[in-house]
Amino acid sequence: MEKLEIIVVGAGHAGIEAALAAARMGASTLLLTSNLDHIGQMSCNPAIGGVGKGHLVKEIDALGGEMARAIDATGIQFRTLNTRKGPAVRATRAQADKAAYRLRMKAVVESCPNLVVREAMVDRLLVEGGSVVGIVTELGEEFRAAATVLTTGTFLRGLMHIGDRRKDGGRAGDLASEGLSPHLAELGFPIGRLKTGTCPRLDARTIDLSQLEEQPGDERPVPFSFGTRSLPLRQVSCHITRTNAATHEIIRGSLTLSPMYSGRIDSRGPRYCPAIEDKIVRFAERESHSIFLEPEGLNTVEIYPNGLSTALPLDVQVAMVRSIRGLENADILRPGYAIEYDFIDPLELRHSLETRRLSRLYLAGQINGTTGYEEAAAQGLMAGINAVRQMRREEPLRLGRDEAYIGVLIDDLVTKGIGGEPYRMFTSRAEHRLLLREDNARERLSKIGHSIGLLRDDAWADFEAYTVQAQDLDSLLAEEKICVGEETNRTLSSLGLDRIRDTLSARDLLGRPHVDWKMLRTLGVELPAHAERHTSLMLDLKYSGYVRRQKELAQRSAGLEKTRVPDNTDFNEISGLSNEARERLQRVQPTTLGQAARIPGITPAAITLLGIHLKRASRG
Amino acid sequence: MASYFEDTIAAIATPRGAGAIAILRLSGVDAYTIAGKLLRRADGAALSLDDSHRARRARLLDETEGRPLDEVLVLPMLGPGTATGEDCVEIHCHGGAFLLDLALRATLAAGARAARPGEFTQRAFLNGRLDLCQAEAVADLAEAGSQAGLHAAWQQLEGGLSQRIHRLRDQLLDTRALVEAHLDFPEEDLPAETLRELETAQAGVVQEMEALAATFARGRLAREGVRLVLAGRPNVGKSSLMNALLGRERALVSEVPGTTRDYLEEPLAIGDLQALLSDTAGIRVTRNAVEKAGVARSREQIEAADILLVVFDGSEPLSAMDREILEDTAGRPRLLLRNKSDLDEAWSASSLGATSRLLPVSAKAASGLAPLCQAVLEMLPAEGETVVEKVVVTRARHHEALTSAGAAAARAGELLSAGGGLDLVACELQAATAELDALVGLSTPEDVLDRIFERFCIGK
Repeated sequence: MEKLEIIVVGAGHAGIEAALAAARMGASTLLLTSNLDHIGQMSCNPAIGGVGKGHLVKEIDALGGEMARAIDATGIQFRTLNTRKGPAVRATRAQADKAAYRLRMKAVVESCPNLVVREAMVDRLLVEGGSVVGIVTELGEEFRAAATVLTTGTFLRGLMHIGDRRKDGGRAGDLASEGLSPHLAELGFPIGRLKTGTCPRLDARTIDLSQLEEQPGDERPVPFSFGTRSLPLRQVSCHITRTNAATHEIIRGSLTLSPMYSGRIDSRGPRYCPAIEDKIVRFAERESHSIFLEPEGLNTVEIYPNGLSTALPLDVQVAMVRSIRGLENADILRPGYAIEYDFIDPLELRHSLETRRLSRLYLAGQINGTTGYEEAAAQGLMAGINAVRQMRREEPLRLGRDEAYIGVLIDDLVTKGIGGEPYRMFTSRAEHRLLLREDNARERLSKIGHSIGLLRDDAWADFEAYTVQAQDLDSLLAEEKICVGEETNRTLSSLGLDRIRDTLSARDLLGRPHVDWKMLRTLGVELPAHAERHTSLMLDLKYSGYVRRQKELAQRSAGLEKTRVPDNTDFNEISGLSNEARERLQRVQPTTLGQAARIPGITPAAITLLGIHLKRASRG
Repeated sequence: MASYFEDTIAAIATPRGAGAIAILRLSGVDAYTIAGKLLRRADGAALSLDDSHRARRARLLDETEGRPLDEVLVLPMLGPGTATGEDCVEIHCHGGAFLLDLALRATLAAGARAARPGEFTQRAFLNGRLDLCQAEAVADLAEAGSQAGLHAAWQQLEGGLSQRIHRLRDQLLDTRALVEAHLDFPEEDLPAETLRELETAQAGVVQEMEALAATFARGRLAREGVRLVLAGRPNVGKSSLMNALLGRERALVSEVPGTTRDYLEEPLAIGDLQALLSDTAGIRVTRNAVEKAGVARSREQIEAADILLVVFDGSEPLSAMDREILEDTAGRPRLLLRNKSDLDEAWSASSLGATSRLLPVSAKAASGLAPLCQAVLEMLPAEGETVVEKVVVTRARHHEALTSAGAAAARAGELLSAGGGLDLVACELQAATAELDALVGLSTPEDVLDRIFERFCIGK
């Protein structure tokens, strides 16, 4: 291999995107994993996307990442969520054939030019003069590079719990990384501990689906990637069952056996992804909780009972599962378990995902306290991009909060930290939500993806053609008139739409609620066959008032966002600030006044003081 | 060197002019040091400033180790339990402009800086002793010119308005938490019926915000006073009427039309409100440049009036100019006054042909004045039920924020009942909350997520 430029440690969802981004941008890249068979493994549920998460996947695709293409190639059920709740929260979710997904990712990584994959456990970093210049493996092998990206997932001192049994490991079947985390602590990084968990896996042949509600995929599944034209795999259904009083009784009777309640685990798990025992305790009044039975693939009998995450002892897991309708005879193939792992407080990071403590070191994924394949992939992509840009002495790529969920994710991490539980994306975290839709991810980001040399040429050409189409379509709509007349109004009424009193353009009509392309066709507007692809054009028209307002809001805060806080600002020098405010500012080291204002506990009064300090400092 | 916000500021806290007692106030890190340099015990020994918040007698020196200036009472107060949150020292001197000037100069020589207007309050705000509404209330309290104004300012300083706004904000966040839960967790078992209940809840919030915003009509009057403007053609007796209402000779009165060439303004108490009574130059065509300017100013005054008192001479037939003024002011809140009611009536009420109330008054006999004041009070926006728990909005900034918040919340309600996109509902709720946040100076998006996880069982 020629001179190594980027090292990526870990080949999960973050590591894959980081390594592919770096290699595709032309950097000679090494990807290290502790197990070559588990590249792109889905440790938990067999699904990609969902509200907020689907948005991230589309953004990754628009920038030139891999996740969307991989799930399209291996997805076995696609659904659009929130179809009636508004376009901003409309989101794609897909069940994956886990093994197919993993193998597909392995093949992509192996066939990527500039990229070499090796199996090795990394033991420590090579640090010279405040910079990370490479890594040393467990076997003493040294690799040097211009930048290193750590994506260690749950592997740092991973410890799995089932009842009172404990076992070291990064996930069931994989070894934990024992050396790296103490080494990072020695280097000064604040290490915290988090908990997460997973469900037992059931044998499909022992489940009676006939009594359960079927949840099929969408009739016309919509893929994730803008480049995908068809979905290759056979599509299947999930099924829904529910816990009941007997289930809850079993769990309540065994609570003290759960490591979360016996005091063996005191690190916090996510509130939005609780173990079933947590749900029973915290929402004692609920008589029942839904369980979604998700197939793990087309060629396996393993079923993932989503909603049954637990760390109860195996015999309790069996009793609990068998108390549920349809699962009376179900066999557990793998037990559910909780896992504790080390993470580094993301307040250590810059927006580029480089650590402030050591330059040329990037962190992405669960090591930063996040959860979710999509959140990990998004960070990995950005870390890979920025590692290469740093090597080339280019400005880091930073996406705005009004530009991408990726921007919201990273800004939240480096500004607010994770607040004690694994960080997951929610659309409510985005203050400019109406601007950040799945349908317009390409319009928002593909130009950036192309300009940094990441987006593939064919994807860019496709986007350019699409943009020209959209412009032509927009002009056509503006010119096409819907004339007032008895016939027109009769047609409108039959479509369930309001009658019109004045002649108006097809563009204006499309901007009205409920009007879609098909209705325009019914009204006699001659549209090109590709019109239906241009959802974002239609939605921009429909929500133009709101979109304009959100853009204005984003503009209004742009002043604060543009006011830079110099790198060397000593917040302890700013008088009038409370000690708490000083500590927080010192910890986060905000780069703009806007970011400072988002730090929890920083009041407008503190921002006023900081603003005055900056003005005085700039005047010298 | 201490920076801008920790240096020590000094100011005379009592009004200018001779008085029995005046208070010199110091606030900042060096307040104690500076006071220590200037204060001595009667026997000349150093004065102890221990024992915070207790008064003691002392001698004030005009400069360090210099001549005694005054016998004073000293009140040292250690921060943060002070008005500004900083160390403060109050020196109660004997009043007297010259003496005070020397005393203030002594503190400046000893290291203090003269405070800018409002700087004590600004520090209280920056040190978190007051929120934005409360800081504004301090200014209002000091400027209040009536019982109602004082009461409103007190309410606000005590956090009455802030509390109401926090409660409203709370309700908005609750609503938003539910909406957001439906958006972010479509696959969870969320209670669908509560979404329907939201419409009612939302209507309540909107109503309350509107009610609170509506108190501004009255609240503004409480804070700023009612602008009463006397208008009418020259020589109908406006100035005499002003004097009669004030109970003293304020305006020059003469038989010559156009004597009043600029407008006069005087405060006047009407009920528990403060009014500002203006006499204007009579409106007439004139070639005199000074009087012309006066007429133009009169028109401005008339524009700014809360209530116009349009005066007619009851003893002379109505002139074309009277009718012109009657027509000009038709669209304005006004009372029509038939002055000189002590003389014979030269015209009947019906000849005015106007719908506004006509009141007989006599400036000369000082009669009809009480009914006039009563009529003014009746014309003002009612205090009535719109005043939520006696909290009144007195500032345009608050009124605007509440109005925008109310409008956004109302749109959210409309979208909910019309079955519009929930993402838009959330957008409106977010906008409404942001307006309230700006009012009291807050914002934390995490609030919404915390509420979701507290209330709903999320997680498959």
